[in-house]
Amino acid sequence: MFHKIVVVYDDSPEADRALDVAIELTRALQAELRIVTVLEPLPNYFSWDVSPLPAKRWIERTRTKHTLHQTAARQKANAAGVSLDTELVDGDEIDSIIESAKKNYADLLVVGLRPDTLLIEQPAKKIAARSPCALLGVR
Amino acid sequence: MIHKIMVAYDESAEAGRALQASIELAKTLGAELTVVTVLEPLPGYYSFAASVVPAWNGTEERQVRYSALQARARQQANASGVVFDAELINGDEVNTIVECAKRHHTDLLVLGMRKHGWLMSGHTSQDVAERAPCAVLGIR
Repeated sequence: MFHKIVVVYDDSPEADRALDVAIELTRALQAELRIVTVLEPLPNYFSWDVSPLPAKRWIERTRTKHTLHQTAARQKANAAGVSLDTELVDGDEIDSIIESAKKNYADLLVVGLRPDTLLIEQPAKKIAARSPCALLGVR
Repeated sequence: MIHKIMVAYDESAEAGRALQASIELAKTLGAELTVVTVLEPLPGYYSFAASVVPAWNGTEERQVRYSALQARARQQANASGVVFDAELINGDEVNTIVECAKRHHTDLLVLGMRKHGWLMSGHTSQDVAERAPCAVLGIR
């Protein structure tokens, strides 16, 4: 039914819940699992800096942070007996996620939903409008 | 983790795909499946119909049609060996689906998404996704 599952992953608790559900689904459906993390853009205030060094350091730091998170996710998946591909992309949040889903021929996209927040304020809604495949929102 | 699946079902193609997907999911996950169909009150302008065709009873006709629809869904589910439950409820679409999901302690709510629509699938899916107490799966 679903053969390729892509999870939108970051360091939020919602993403962790989404990952848990996705791991369980992957195991039950014997699918392939992939997590995608989108690096947030450089905050504007770095443009005030005289030297480009702090910005570079900031980019490096977020990259390391997300890589570590992805490694933790991989360990969790492996502990559940599921192999996991990771992807770290740079760019617009929604565009990158949709692109990644298309590129990998995903047939299920899993996103975490913030509880007690209106859908209209969440990226999940924008993903839903443009998703090429089925979309699972985990609350 | 997912033990109870509920699917919002009507005669649309999207709902048909959603039903197909949820039957397969319920089968692989060993979950229970509930199909909920909502009979919305007819729009106000239908009251004019009574003056033209006094014998016409829209509510009853739809009730029969939706029951037949659910019977077909039941056959489909039984063919795959899934525990199946169907509900046909009168009321407002969004409220009824959300209430039903709450009452059944559903873990996963399956909705059909329009293929080329702008936004999820009109406002019904969107509003249901907004207010659902559980995870929501939109099938495209």
